[in-house]
Amino acid sequence: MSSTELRRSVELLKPLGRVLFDLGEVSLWERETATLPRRLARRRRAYRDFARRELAPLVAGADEDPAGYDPRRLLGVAARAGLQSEQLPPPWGTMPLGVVKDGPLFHEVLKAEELAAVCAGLGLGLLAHGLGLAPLQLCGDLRTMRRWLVPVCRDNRAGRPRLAAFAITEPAAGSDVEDTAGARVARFGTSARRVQGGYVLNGQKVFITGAAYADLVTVFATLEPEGGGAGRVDRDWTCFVVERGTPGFRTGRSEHKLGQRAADATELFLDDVFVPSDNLVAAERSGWAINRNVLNYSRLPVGAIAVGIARGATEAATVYCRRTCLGGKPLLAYQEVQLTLADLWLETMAMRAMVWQGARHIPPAQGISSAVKTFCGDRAVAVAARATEVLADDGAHVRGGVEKRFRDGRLNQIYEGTNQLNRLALVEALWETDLAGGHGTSI
Amino acid sequence: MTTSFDVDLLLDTVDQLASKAEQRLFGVQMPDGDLGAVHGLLLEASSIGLLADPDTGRWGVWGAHVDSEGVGLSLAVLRHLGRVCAGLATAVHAQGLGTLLLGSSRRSPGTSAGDRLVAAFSPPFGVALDPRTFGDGLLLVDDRLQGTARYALVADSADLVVLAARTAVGPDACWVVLVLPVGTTGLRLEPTGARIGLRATGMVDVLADHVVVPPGAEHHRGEPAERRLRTTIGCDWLGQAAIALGSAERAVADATAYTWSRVQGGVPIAEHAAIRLLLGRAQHDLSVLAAVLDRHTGTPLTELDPTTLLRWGADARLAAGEHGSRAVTDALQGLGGYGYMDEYGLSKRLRDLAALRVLHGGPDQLVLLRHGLPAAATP
Ligand SMILES: Cc1cc2nc3c(=O)[nH]c(=O)nc-3n(C[C@H](O)[C@H](O)[C@H](O)COP(=O)(O)OP(=O)(O)OC[C@H]3O[C@@H](n4cnc5c(N)ncnc54)[C@H](O)[C@@H]3O)c2cc1C
Repeated sequence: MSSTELRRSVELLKPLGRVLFDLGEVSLWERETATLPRRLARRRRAYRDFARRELAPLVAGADEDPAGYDPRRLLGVAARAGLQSEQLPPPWGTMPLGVVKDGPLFHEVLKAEELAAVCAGLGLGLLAHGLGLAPLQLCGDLRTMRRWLVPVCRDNRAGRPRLAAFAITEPAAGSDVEDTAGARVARFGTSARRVQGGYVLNGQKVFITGAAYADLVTVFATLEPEGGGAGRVDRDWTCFVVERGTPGFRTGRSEHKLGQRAADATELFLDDVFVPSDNLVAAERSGWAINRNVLNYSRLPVGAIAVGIARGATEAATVYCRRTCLGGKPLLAYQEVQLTLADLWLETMAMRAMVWQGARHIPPAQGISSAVKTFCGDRAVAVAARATEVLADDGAHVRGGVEKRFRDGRLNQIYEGTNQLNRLALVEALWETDLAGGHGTSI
Repeated sequence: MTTSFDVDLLLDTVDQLASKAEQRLFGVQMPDGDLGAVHGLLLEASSIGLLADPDTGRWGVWGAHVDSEGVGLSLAVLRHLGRVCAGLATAVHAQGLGTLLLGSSRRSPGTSAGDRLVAAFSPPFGVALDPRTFGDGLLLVDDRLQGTARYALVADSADLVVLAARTAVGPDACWVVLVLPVGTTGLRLEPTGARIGLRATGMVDVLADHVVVPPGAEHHRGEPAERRLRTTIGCDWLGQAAIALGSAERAVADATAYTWSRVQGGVPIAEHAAIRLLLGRAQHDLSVLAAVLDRHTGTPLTELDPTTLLRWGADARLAAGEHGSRAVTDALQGLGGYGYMDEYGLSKRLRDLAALRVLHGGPDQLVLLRHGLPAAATP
């Protein structure tokens, strides 16, 4: 907002001075989009339009009655729009060209923010598919890619949705499968045994996002050690693809949870499940490396989900303050309200800047991804809580549009490793180079 | 004079009711429990004297005893109930606020001896203390009541509604406190809709459309009405803080127990510094909130000037919003993914605290109002 006087004064400057002075009345979203390479700017616009068109009408119903919400129609629409096949470039998938230059996750973080700005739960339901496919994408094994990733991407691209889920967590091992120290001593139940022509899996998984509808799940199990004895997660972990309908493989209950309710978190049971050798992802006992790298990649989009949640809360609070009058003028006109709104906007900008900067690292690194995930998760909750306060009593009501963001945001401090464990992952990553003063340290 | 023996006895009774409430509300797998059980529990609270009695104004939470003995007992009851269900505690609190605002044993026209439950309009404090109001509030002009009172806490089956109205717009007007039966022509109680928490207590907007106020319905006017209103608002904030404290105490206790049963990293998670920090800070938060709440508990309300009461109430509510909420969120974090699931109860406490944090106004409003209070009298 620039005053007439200021405009007049700028007009008096030399042409170069005028060019150097920004008087453009352009929204923050447009300004930030303009800093992106054109191909990414186009995607960002497309993701936003998709979210507003396809997600917005579903938000209230899916949050209120998650058990009654069936995501399959949305999965089909998302597949047709090219959102579910971005793990591979054309002709197999819809990955944007230029990922090598832009960073392999840039489009993913843009998508995550746009979807979550409308609804983190519905967004998570779509994004978890990328997490499920990540082991196939990151294992670097062409046989695995050809066998699994190519057909799944191709089907999705053709509008035939096939959903993937990622399963590491077990009842007795949550943080332990996200953390180096924990992995050494994890009480891990899911096991794999080599048999003629393949493997037999036994065990249970919990909290698996999207598992209720997934067509295939990347399941991590400890392969029985060569020399006998107990298997270890960091040494014997192996990733397998398990398809829906495989005998002995079934889903259990979907949890009732605080937020991101449109995305199911479901139990999986594996009772003597036979999978052919073809379903082995990359090499035996390479599971720990695959898992850690999946988390390095996935924690950036999770940070972007948090940005979307904060942005959704900020936008809802802004609209409320524009529309609600107090003492004859809109809330927006009060200085105390302006100060709070400024905090909401600036926090969201800072979060986004961190995510975009993180996405420029090629390949994504543990310390950076964990830092992004942790910071953005914490700030999203703070922003949503503050937005609730601006609306006061209306903030506690569903119609205010912010209480859901608070509930949704709280998950970002827990999944993909709690924020405590992610802080420890940051320390671990920086230990040699920056903290303990070993070689290469700059301080 | 209440002895400490009486207090212990009463709190025992509260705990018995609380454990009944726990069974009846949370015997079912629903995120907020069986809300159908709330009415029965309130009647039971009434029969054992915990619910303030609008007839005599004497018993229960915020009953007349606060005038002579201070608010300690009321706060203790709310804190104990808050440990089980903050929503149920808020319903008990609301009844007390209505009674406190009424502060009279005179029966109003149209009410009967059987009337028990009160819809307490405890006006958002912006309405009461700040001329820049949310909504227009209620106006009583020429014995006609007009306008809206938002966010009244109401037991679903309330018989009466206690309201505060202004006599005109502008600084020259004064406050009036009146009581009306719920069925009064032109008076509508409209539920405010789905909320994040405190779902065991009803909340409505009270809409008055040219309601004829019969003679005798008005209980206070002018300075006495304003004094009652300020006292009620101060007690509203204190009660909310006590409920938040109880709820947070339970959250921290539950999380502490959980962390000894959950093994990660080869040891009970209670042994990890990350957990000790979370729970240690939560315990500190609880003691800060408890200390603020304790400030004037023993002082008879009649000896506390309304400004001191308001400042104390504001401090307590702000401390509840900050320290109570943080204690609960830290406790929840101690359970990892399980804390996020309805089944473990922590997520409900987080929702309830989020609702309490903005009940009848947000923290910034509270800070500004507190700042605008006249300076404390120097001793
Ligand atoms: C809604 C939802 C969706 C999810 N989706 C998936 C999914 O799709 N796939 C999947 O595999 N998993 C999924 N998860 C699991 C998620 O990643 C775990 O919940 C998370 O890693 C925490 O594990 P936990 O719940 O077992 O908590 P715990 O590991 O039991 O942690 C409890 C507490 O102890 C602390 N703690 C634990 N170990 C240590 C330690 N060594 N040092 C210090 N502190 C420690 C934690 O920080 C936490 O505060 C999901 C979880 C949720 C809630």
